[in-house]
Amino acid sequence: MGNSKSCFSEEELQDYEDLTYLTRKEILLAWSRWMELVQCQDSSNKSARYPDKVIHQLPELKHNPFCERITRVFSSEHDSRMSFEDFLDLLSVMSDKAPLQLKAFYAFHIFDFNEDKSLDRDDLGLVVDKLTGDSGLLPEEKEKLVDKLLEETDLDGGGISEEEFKHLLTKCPDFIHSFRFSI
Amino acid sequence: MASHVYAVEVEDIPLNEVNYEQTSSSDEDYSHVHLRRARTDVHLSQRRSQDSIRYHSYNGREHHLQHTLPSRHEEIVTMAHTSVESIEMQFYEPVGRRVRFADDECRGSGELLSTHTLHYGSEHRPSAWFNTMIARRRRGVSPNTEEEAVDEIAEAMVGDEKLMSDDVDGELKMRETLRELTKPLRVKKELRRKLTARRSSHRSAAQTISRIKYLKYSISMWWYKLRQSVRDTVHDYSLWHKELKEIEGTFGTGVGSYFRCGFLLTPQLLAHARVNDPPSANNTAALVFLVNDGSEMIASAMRVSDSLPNTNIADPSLTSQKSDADDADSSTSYTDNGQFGALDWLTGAGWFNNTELYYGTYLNRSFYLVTNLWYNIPEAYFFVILLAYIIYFIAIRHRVNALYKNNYIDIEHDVSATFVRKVFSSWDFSITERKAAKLKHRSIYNELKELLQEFLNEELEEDFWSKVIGWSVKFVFWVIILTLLGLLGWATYLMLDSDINKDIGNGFNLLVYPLIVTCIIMFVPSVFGLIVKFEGYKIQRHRIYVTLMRTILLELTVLGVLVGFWFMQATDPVPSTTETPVTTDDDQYDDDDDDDDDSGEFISEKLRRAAGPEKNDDCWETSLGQEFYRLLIIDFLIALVMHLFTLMFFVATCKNTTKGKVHQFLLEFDISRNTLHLIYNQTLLWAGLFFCPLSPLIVLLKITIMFYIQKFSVLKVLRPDERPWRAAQTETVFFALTLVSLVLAVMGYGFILFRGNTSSCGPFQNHEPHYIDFLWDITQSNEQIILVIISWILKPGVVAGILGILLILVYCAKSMAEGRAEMIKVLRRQLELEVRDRAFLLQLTEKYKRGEHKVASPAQVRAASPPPSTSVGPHELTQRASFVFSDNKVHPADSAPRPRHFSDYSDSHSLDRYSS
Repeated sequence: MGNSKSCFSEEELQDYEDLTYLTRKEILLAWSRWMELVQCQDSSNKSARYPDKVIHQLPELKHNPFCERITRVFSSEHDSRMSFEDFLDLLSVMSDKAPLQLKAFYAFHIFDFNEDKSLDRDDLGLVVDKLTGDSGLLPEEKEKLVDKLLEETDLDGGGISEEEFKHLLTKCPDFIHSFRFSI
Repeated sequence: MASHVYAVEVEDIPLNEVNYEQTSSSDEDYSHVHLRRARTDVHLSQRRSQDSIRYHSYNGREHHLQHTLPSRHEEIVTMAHTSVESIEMQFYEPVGRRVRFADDECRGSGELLSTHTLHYGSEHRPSAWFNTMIARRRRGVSPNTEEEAVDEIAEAMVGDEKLMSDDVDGELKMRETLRELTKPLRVKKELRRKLTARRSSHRSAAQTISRIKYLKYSISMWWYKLRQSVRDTVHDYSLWHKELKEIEGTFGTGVGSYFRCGFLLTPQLLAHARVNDPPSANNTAALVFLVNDGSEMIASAMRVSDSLPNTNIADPSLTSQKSDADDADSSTSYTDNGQFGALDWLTGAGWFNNTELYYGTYLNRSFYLVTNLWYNIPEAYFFVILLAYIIYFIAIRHRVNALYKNNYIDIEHDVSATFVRKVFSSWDFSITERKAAKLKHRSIYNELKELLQEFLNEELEEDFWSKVIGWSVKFVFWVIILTLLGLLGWATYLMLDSDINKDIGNGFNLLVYPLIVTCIIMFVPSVFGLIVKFEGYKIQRHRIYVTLMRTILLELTVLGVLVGFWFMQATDPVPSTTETPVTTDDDQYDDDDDDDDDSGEFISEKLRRAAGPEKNDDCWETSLGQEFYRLLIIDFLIALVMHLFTLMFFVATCKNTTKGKVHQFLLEFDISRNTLHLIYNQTLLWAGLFFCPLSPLIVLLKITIMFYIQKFSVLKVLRPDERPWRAAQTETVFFALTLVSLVLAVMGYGFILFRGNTSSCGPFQNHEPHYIDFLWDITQSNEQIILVIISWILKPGVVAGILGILLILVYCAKSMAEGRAEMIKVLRRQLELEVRDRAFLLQLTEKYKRGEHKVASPAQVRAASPPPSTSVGPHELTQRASFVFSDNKVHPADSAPRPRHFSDYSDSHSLDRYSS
C-alpha cells in the first residue's frame, strides 16, 4: 500500500472522498485490494473494466448469493463489468455511513432479478432460493412464503414497488446492520 | 367537492418556480395534469397532516373520502376516452414501473426519481432541484444520452438556491446530495465538476461580497474540513478494526456486534461520539476510569474530584501519615503489611489491603493542596463515585432509550412485517468465509421453516385446557427455579459464614467461595437453557428471554447475598470502636435478612454459630472489596481454563467427528451466554465500585485480554451458533438488563449509605452513625437552609404538584403517541385506497387500449366533456384538468347537467368483473 498513494492525484482523491462515504484511507485500501483482485500492473487506468468473474473473487462477494446481481447493479454500463470507480461505489453504499435510503435503493435493485422495477413473485421466489442455498424450501412452502410476503407488503397486487420496499425497510432495524461490509 | 380536495393537495407541491417558468413554455398546459399524477406517488409523503386530517380524518370524514372517489373516477373516465394514449403516457411514464419502457429512459428517469421519492418518517423533504426534475419528467422531457442526463441534473441543481448558496451549508448540502445520488461515480464526478465550475463563476460574478464574509466562509470551511479529517482518521484507526472485520467475516454481524458492543474500549469514546457506535458499558467503564485518573491531574484545581489522594499529589506528610495509620490498622490483617505474597494476586488480600484498591485505605482527612485550596477526601470519594454512577447511568439509559425506540416502538405498529424482516434483512453481507455462508444458509432455512410452522400453528386454535396445562407447567417450573435460587442463596450464605469463622491463616480458603460462586454463575445458566426447552415456549425468542431473566436473577441473588452478608456484619450495633468482634449479637438477623425464602433455619444456624470464633477483620468494606476482587479474578481464570479446555477438546475430537451434545455445547459460540458473562462482569463492577474503587481498571485489563482470547478461540476453534441471532432486539434486551442491574446496585448503595453504620476505616470513619452524615458536615454552616429546602420539598402540596405535572406529561406523551398511531392508520387507509384506485385505472386503460371496453353511450360521453369536434387536443384535456384543480371556480363544463358516469361505469365494471 506504500506506493498506492502515488497512483492518485490529490484532486482525484478529493473527488472520491467527497463523492463517496469512504475515508481517504479506505479509498487507498480499496485501491490496493482492487489491484490485488485484478492483478494488473497498469495503475494508471482507473476506468478499465473487468468482467464479473474477476470481481467475484473478492472474499466479500465470493460467498454472497447475490454476487451476480451486485456486479450487475453496480456496473455503470449495466453489463456486469466493473471498473474501480464502480467498485468504490459498491464500497460506499456498503459502508456504515451510507444512509438507509441509499442502501435500500440498491438492495431493491439487487433483489429485482428480472429488472422490471418491482419485486414480483418470481423475484421473491428467487430471493428465497438464494437465501436458503442448497437446502431449498419445498415448492409449496416457497409458494406459501411468497404469498405471505406479498400479503404483508404488497398493496396493489403487482409486486413490491420501490417505494413500498423502502418503506418496509424503515421498519427492519436489522437491515442496516446486515447490508454492509467494509474492506 | 372533489375539485376542492385536490386543489389543496396540489398547492402543496413545492416547485422550483424559476425552472418551472423557464422550461414549461410549450407544454405548460399539460403540467396540471402531470401534477395530478404526482399526487399518488411523490407527494403523498409530504402532504401536510392537517390537510389529510381535514379531508380524511376519522370522525365521519372517511365517509366523505369514499364519497369523493367515484367522482374522481368519473373525471378520469371522461379524460380517458378523450385521449387514451396521452393519459397513459402521462400516468405511467414518470413512475415507469408497470409499463416497460426503453431501457435508457428507465435508467434516466426512473432511477433518479425514485431515490428521493419517499422519505417516510424522515424530516427530509424532496429538495427543490429534485422537484424540478420531477416536473420535467412529468412534462415528458427526458434525456436520451448520459451527457444530457448530467446536464439536466446540473441544471436543476444550479436552479436550487439552497444547494448553490454561497456558504458552508450550501457546500455541505451539495456534498450530501451528490453522495446520495444513485448514479455511477463517473457521472457524479462529471456533475461535480460542472457544479463547481458554475459555482466559481457565480462567485467571481459576485466578487464584491465583503472580505469579511469570504473570510468567514473560508474559516468555517476549514474548520469543517479539519473536523472531518479528524473524524476520518479516528475512524480509520479505530480500535481493533481489523480484528472486528475478521470476526465479522467468519461469523457474521451478530457475533461482530457482540465483540463491538462488549469490548470496544477507551480512546474511541473520548475521541468521537459516533452515534452508530454503541457507547457500551465497558466503554463507560473505561471512561470512568479515565475520569478517576484524569481527575488526578486537575485535583489541584477542583475540590471535588480525586479519589486517589496519595498517588501523585506531592504531599509526603500525608503519605507517611497514611501509612502510619495503615500500620496501626492492619495489625489485624492476616499477613504482614509490607510483604507481597504470591497468593495475593488471587486473593486480593495481604499486600493489596493497603493499596488504593480498597475503600478502607482512603482516609478521612482534608488538607490544603495549595494554600487556600481545601481538599477533602471523603467528599472527593463520594462525589467521584457518584459521578461515575451518573455517567454510567446516563450512557446506558441513553442507549436503551434509542434502541428501544428504534427496535420496538416504531415497529410495533406493524406487527405483520415479520416475513419481510426475515427475508430482506437476513443475509449478512459481511460474510467472507465459505463455512459461515453455508451456516447462514442453513440458519435462514431453519428460521423460515419455523416461521411458516408458527403461522400454521397459529391458525389452529388452542383449546382452553391445553392452555391451562401449558400455563401451569410454566408456573411449576418458575416455582422450581425460584426455590433453586433461594437454596443457592442460602448455600452461599452458609459458605460465607463458615469462611468468616474459620481460621483464615491460609489464603486458599479465601478462594473457595469465589470459585464456587463463579462456577455456579458459569454453569447454572446452561442448566436453565436446558430446562427451558421442556417448558413448551413456542417462540424461540421467549425462550431466550426467560433464560436471560433467570440468569440475571441468579446473579443478583448471589451478589445480593454477598453484599447483604457483609452489610449485616457491619450493622451489628456494637459500640466498641477499634477491634470489633462483629458476629456476636443475634437478634439482628431478623430484620436484616435479605434472602427470600429460608430465614427460619438460617437464623437458627446463625445462632449456633454466634458463639464461634470471632471475626478479626474490622473493616468490612475492605473485606467486601476483596471479595469482589476475588470474584473478578477467579472469573477471569475460570474463563481462561474454559477456553483452554475447549481448545483441548477441539484438538482431541478433531479426528473423530462426534456430534454429541457436549460437542455442540462446547464448540458453539453462544452469543447470549457470552454476553451474559459480560453483563455479569459489569454488575460486579457496579456493585464493587464503592468498595473497590480501582475495579474499573481491573475490568478494563481483564476485558482487553479476554477480547484477544475470545477472538482467537472464535476464529480458530468455535463455530457460529446455528440459531438466528436477531441482533437489534436482543441487544436492546441486554442493555435493558444492564440498566436494571445498575439501578439495583445504586439502590443497594443508597440503602447502605443511609442506613448502614460506618466502620472504623475508610473515608467516612468518623461520621457517625451513618455514611451519609458526612454530607451534613459539608453543609454544617448552612444547615438551616438545607433543612428548610428539604422540608419544603417534602410538603404534601409540592409532592402532589410534582406528581400532577408528571401525570400531565405522561398523559400528553401518551395521547401524542396515540394520535400518531391513528395518523398512520389513516394514511395507510388512504394509501390502500389510492392503490386500489390505481389498479383500477390501470385495468381500465388496458381495456380501452385493447378496445374491449365499450363506453356506455356516446351521448353521455358528450355530456361529460365538450364534444370532440375535431381531434381531441390537449386543450380539452386541460380544460377538464383545470377544472379539476382550480379551486372552487365552476367551469362551464360543470354547469352542464351532471353526467351519470359513475353509475354507468360502475355497473359496467361490475358486470365486467362478473363476466370475466
